Amino acid sequence: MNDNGLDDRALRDAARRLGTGAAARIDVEHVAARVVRRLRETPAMRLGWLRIAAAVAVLVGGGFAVRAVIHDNAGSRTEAAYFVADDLNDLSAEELRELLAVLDDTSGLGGVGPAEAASDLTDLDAQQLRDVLRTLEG
Amino acid sequence: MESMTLPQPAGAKPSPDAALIAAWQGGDEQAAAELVRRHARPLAQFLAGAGVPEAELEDVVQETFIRAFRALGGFRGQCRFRTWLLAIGANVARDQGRRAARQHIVPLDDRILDRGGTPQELAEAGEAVDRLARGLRTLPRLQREVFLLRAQQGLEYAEIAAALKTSAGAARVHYHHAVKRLKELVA
Repeated sequence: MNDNGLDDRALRDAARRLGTGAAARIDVEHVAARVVRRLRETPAMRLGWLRIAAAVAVLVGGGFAVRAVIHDNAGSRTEAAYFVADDLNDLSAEELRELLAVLDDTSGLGGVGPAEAASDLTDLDAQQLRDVLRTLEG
Repeated sequence: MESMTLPQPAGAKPSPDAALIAAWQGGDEQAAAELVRRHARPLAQFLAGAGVPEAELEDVVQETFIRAFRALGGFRGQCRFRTWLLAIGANVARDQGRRAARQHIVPLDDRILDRGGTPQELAEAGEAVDRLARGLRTLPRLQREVFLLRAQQGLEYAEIAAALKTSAGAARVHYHHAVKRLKELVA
């Protein structure tokens, strides 16, 4: 490096030590095995569905904020759509339709789902999610 | 895979990473595992410095490798594989931080410090590291990432620029802004 000076050296020394303990404690063999297993289980043909699953996860994570927007102003669905659009803008119209179909299929299950999903989506029902997605679908 | 390799003299052997990547793309799972073994700890150190809490470090490292392997088709050898991996790791860490913020978990700012380890490790880490970690959380994201890639990982500006899709000059400016702000806290 060309950045000379005692202060720079002290800074770089500290930077080189930062995180070394945590890095040393990870189980590299365990990580390698998990990575190989996931690569084996998710061939390329399933990536489209994985993107949809990721979008659902985003909706779950952002559900609380979306719900707040919808409750504050029933006519402001565009604002809610904007909130999640940065995470969903990679989905095509066809993928959004598939996601809507998944929601349609699951809406009859009585809200059964992961505990964390229930805590974020207490009041955001399937219809409200559909409304948000249809706004995005254009 | 020709696009994976950086420019090399005629007749030179491909880098170990390029050979492993080619082997993995040919169906050799152990080549993928070896790439993880080669790069997991430097990646983990970078992620810890970027604010990923230790409890989530293995998961974020794993997710970074998964994204990298799936995106290998878009890697053109513009930088070393490790540098490219670190840039992906920065994106994964950012996503993880946004998820945590949305779920109102522990604020990112409070999780940058590596507080784990033995008493001896903690003593060795010293006050400078503690101050640096606190200072890093005050920096804009790009300054923090450039600083870590330069000061922690020892990368050149051109390599940082290629990984972060900016110019070497801009990377240099980000680094010096970061250093200027951090010096007051660490020196």
